[in-house]
Amino acid sequence: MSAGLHVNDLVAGYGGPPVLGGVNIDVEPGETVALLGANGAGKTTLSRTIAGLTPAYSGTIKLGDVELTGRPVHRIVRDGLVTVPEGRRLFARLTVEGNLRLAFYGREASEEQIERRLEEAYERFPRLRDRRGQAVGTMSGGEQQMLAIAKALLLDPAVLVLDEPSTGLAPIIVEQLLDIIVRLAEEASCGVLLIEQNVGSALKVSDRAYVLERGSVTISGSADELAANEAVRAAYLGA
Amino acid sequence: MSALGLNRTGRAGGASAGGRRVTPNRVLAFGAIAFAIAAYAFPNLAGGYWINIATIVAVYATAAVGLDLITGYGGMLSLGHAAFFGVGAYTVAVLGEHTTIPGFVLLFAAVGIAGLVGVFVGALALRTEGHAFALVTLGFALILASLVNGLDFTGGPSGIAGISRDVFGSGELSDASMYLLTLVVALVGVGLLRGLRSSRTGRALLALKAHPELAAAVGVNVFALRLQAFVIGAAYAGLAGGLFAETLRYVSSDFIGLTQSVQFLMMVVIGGLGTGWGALVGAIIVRGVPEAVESLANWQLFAVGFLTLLIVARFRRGIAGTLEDALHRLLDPRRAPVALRPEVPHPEVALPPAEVAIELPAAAAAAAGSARSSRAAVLAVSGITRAFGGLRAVDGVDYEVRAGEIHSVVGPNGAGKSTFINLVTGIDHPDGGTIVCEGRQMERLPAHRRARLGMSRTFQLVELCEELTIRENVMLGAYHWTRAGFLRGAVPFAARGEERVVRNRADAVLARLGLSELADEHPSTVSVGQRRLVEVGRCLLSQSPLVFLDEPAAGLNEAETSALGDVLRELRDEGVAIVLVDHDMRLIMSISDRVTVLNFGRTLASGDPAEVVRQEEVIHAYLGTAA
Amino acid sequence: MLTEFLNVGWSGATVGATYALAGLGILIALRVTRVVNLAQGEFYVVGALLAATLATAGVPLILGILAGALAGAGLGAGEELIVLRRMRNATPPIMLLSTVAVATLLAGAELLVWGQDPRSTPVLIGGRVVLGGVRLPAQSLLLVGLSIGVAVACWMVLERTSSGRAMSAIAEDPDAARLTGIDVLRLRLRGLAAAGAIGGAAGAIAVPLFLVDFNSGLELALRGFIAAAISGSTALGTLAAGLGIGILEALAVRYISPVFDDVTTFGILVIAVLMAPKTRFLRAVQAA
Repeated sequence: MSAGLHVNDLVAGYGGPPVLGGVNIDVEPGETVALLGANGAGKTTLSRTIAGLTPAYSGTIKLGDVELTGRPVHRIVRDGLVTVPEGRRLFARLTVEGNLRLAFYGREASEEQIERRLEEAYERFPRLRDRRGQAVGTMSGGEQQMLAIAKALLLDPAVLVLDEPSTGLAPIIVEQLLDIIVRLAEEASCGVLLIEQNVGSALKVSDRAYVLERGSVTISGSADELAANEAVRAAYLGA
Repeated sequence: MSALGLNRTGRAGGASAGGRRVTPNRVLAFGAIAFAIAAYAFPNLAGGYWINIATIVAVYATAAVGLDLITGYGGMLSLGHAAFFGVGAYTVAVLGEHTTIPGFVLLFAAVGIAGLVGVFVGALALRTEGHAFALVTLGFALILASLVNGLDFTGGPSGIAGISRDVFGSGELSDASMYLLTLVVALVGVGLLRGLRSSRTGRALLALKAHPELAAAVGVNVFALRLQAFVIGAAYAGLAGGLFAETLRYVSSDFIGLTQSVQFLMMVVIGGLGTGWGALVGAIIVRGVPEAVESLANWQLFAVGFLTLLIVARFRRGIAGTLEDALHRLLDPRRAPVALRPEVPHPEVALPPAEVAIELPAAAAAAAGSARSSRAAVLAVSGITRAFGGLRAVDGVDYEVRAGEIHSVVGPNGAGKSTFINLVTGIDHPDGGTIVCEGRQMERLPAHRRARLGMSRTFQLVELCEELTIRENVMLGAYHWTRAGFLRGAVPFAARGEERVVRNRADAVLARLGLSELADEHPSTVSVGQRRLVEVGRCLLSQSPLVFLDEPAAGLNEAETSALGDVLRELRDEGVAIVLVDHDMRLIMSISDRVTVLNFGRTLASGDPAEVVRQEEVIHAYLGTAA
Repeated sequence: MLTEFLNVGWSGATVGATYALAGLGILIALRVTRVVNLAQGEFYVVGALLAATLATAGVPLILGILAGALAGAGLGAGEELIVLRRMRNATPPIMLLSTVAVATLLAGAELLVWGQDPRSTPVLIGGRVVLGGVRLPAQSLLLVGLSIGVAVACWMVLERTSSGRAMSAIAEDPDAARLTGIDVLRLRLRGLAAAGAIGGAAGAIAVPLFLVDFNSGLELALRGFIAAAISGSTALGTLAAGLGIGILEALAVRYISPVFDDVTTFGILVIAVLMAPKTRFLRAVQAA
């Protein structure tokens, strides 16, 4: 799998005035790219539009050569663009394994194949194995985020979009989590678009970054450049 | 001051320019008069058969007016409206059978008893919401219908015949007189409902329908207002039922079953929910047309179902609403898309003195004065805690804000800021800790009580009522210091003085925020920044000594943010205590007197803004270890 | 005395089987669409009236049952494709209202096609089965048997298969289900078609036992809803609740007053809602 995500001049919103006014973003295979921005900048609108939940007004979203705009959400996931939405949105009524098994619904996979893939997931996230029969609601935020990522990886992403994975998690957990994500991305040569408010942690694990402000990308560059950028510091600390 | 505004020419101060302008409301008023004359004349000219049909239509329209209040205004989907119609009808029938009470007294009894049953049903059904509410009302209606069918004093399945039409003690009314009576009742009902639309209580109902949290935040007791609307709607149906019994001189359970409840609902949906006169249009289409054209009778059910689907899918505002919208488009040429543009400093407009003395809550009055001698804490929060499952979203937070101070709350996403605001404004209640506002303990008070005692707020996801104009949305803020209820709101001119004061103040607030040009627009047509300002305007009109702003700068551009900062500074200088939650550190640093940083539900740092941001933990929380 | 009691109880259970079947249809549709489909009763009526017409024309009733199931499936799928799918972003009251409108439209169509008179047909299986001294009509055994079979099948599908898991995910959070790669629209269509087929088949099997007319649908849907609601949204619970309501109604009518059928049923609803407004089904219904 080596198809990158290419967002070109994307304009989108919720029926009214556009929230995104011409966004350009690229995520190459194996690369981790951070998308930073304050609340209201349009980060969630961007992730919803890429996922197909919100229609684009204009512009293109391509995964490799496949044009994603206008395709149904589940097709986009099958094409290899997998989104972990903000707040994780797991299914609380299902068990941990029930959530993981959903990733195989409607796909051709024998029970042995499913078992094997689940086993892989449990090896990566041993905590999930311990809790495989438990309801999701009983798990901590960090464990839930791990489950969400484990489920996303079972969907065989070419590009993984993570919308604010750090929300409500302690910094140490966030860093562990982000390390895992990056490592897995490299293993699978899968691109990662990391949408974050948590600037420091995000920049630390990313190769490149974009800053989104009021629906447009205002700053972009390598993660190191952005970490040293005064404007970024000012935006988040007002200093 | 500098403020936001729009540079557009023309339209001096709203619709009042020019006495002879053709406005949509004038067209509607003229249409109403023409309709009333025609409605009275036509059946009388056309003869007996038509009079009977028209009378029944007028009776059903009256019941539908009641349902429009419940469903169209109040947003409660009732599937049991025929029950109250039945209560009214049987009240008149049963009392008339056993007594010699004059008919109009029986009608009052019908209204009263239907209202009482409404209190009972409403109070129980309102413990639920959504689908369950609809199905509980339906359940009650079916129970009632089957009781009526089985009990002796209601005549069983054969019903009661021979009901007197001696309404005024002057002998039996003729068909024509009966028609005049029912027509007047229906038209008065429509008129009252229409009047309510542009009154304090009408605005509150529409806001409540859109966002119950918004209604509570301006001081509306959500349960009580819903119940009132339900009971008044039920009483209307009772009146209609009484008139029905006197018109037909006969009642049976056939007229009050499930089918009838559904038909009432379809009348108001087809006619247009929340329009008032839609009830009349719906009654004519659903009841009148099939009665008048006999060959259509068998098609009625199919056609009504089809029309309802069509309306729900394509013309959500129903026939009346769609016509009104068309009228507005026709007569209002200024429906161009609104372009946002920051403006040169706007001349400040001072609030005009109240033209009618209005009693303000003591707290609000105290805050209105700019020179507040003692800088007492308006809000003091101590040790509040709230856990969701295992997660302590807010964990022992202390906080206070004084009059004339901006005390900001910042923190990364998930730090507990929203939970904090929800706990203090009463949307949620803390597990522990105290909240004291203006010397009153309030951690157990519901949101609307806190609003009445002097808290106002904006919402992170802007909450404005789409059915109201921008001016009316601002006017919502005045809810807690004004008084007009259902009756004064509905009767023309009864609350004129109060309404004028609120309107003038709203216009002054809009001018101050640079939104005058947009006063008659609906919220969806303006930018996010302007919508946020409308929310601020609502807070201004509430005259609360304490204002919560939940991420007011999110989605604003720099000019808008700086204009917002200016407005907030002015408010602060007038003595208002401001709790500001935002991520925009430039805004926070430039206007805050104090800053509290939350992280993982705990206070990480608190104090002077410049000192707080220098602290190691704060930098860490925001920038992580990279910084 | 006891025999009479048992007879009354059994006839109640027979009626209750139709409630349970309606409730199961509503339960399936609720899982995939998050709306209480009050048109569920119309699938039953159409199935019943169609089977009655075919039986009158000499078609074997077993074919009538098949036709009823197919017609119901078609109507259910049609409701999803033409109405519910478009309304999926509407507010809950508007969605509920749409299903009432569909019910009204279908009732109107039934009136136009079949007229006002209630219909019934000769039974598919004649004779009686003696069980514990009570002689039970064989056809009613078939109906009760169908309700049990359908309930067990629903339970198996909902709780034991990957489709059931996917439906549960949709019920909880449709967007998150789509982001997991689940074709939500296809499952919705299948769910509504299944609910329709259950309704249509139930009508065709019940019509030899009960008179059915164009007015029967909405009340049946309501009773089905009550059965599903008080059972807390489980298939086997809906079966038990449906049969139970039917039995209670029959006993109340026989031993208290002939008008007590509605009073009993909707009394149960009101009490259930008020005593336990937080059952899973009601929570789902309120939040939906």
